[in-house]
Amino acid sequence: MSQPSHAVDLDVEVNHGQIYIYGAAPWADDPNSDAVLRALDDARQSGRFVGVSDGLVDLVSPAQWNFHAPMRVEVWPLEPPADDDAWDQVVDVDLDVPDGRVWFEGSGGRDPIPCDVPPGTYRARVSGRGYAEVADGAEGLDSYRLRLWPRDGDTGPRSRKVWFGYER
Amino acid sequence: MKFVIFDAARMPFITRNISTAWAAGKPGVLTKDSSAEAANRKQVCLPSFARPHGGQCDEYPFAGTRQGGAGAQEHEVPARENQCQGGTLSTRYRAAGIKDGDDYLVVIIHPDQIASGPFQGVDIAEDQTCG
Repeated sequence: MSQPSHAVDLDVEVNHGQIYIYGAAPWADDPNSDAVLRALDDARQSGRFVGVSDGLVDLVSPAQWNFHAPMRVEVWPLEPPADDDAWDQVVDVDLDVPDGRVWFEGSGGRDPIPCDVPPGTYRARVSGRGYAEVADGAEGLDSYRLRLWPRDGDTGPRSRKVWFGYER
Repeated sequence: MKFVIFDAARMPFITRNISTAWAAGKPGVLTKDSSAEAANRKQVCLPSFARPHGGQCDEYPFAGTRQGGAGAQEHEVPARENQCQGGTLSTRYRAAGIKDGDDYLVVIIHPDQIASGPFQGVDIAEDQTCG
């Protein structure tokens, strides 16, 4: 299988160097949820720069902000073939999308941007690139991709590739 | 009055920017305004802002407020603090029900932990977590 069964291109917002990705908002039942802060701690302390907490994924980017960041969302029937060389950062995480809607929310109080996908319990591959360019001050050259495929059980996050700039 | 708390033990340089901006006459009460943020970010913390220590640019008043934009005070801060600030705003806006058009008071706790000088490339926070 070399093609996704579902693909959408959209613009999302990076703000304060982060995009929150979730299919079920941790604050739906608890307005005081600090999941975004704990996901950030996980992202940084793990060295993955993609963190998880209560089902929310925090994608940390060297781009401070980009309100028109390209995000490609793909749904695959099986784990997709690797193309890590084409990206600066690649991390696999679990992501549940019970209602068939993934939300992308820029940090700092931005409105979330929806993307409809088939409802499911997914393994997700989060990728980003253009990092060296934006770290050097260029604007709008960062882009992202979220690949989803069905998972059977729960698995911890796995870093496939870490941007060299985070290791400096 | 709703409020947003910034912990100087976690964000010593962000809180230094806030406190010195207050001392320079910038307001302590801000008005959330997401619609202004994109335009405000084109006026402050531009790519030309010098970041000699590899940090990021922080502005006060915040770009996501009606008071942000031209004239905001800019400081270089560690990337971790900028990310932590974003998470703090997201969390607190939601918890306190702060929506566009709402005023809120900015509060600093552990003020003794505010950085005594500019960021020099070292993240000096006593507590390097955010959550």
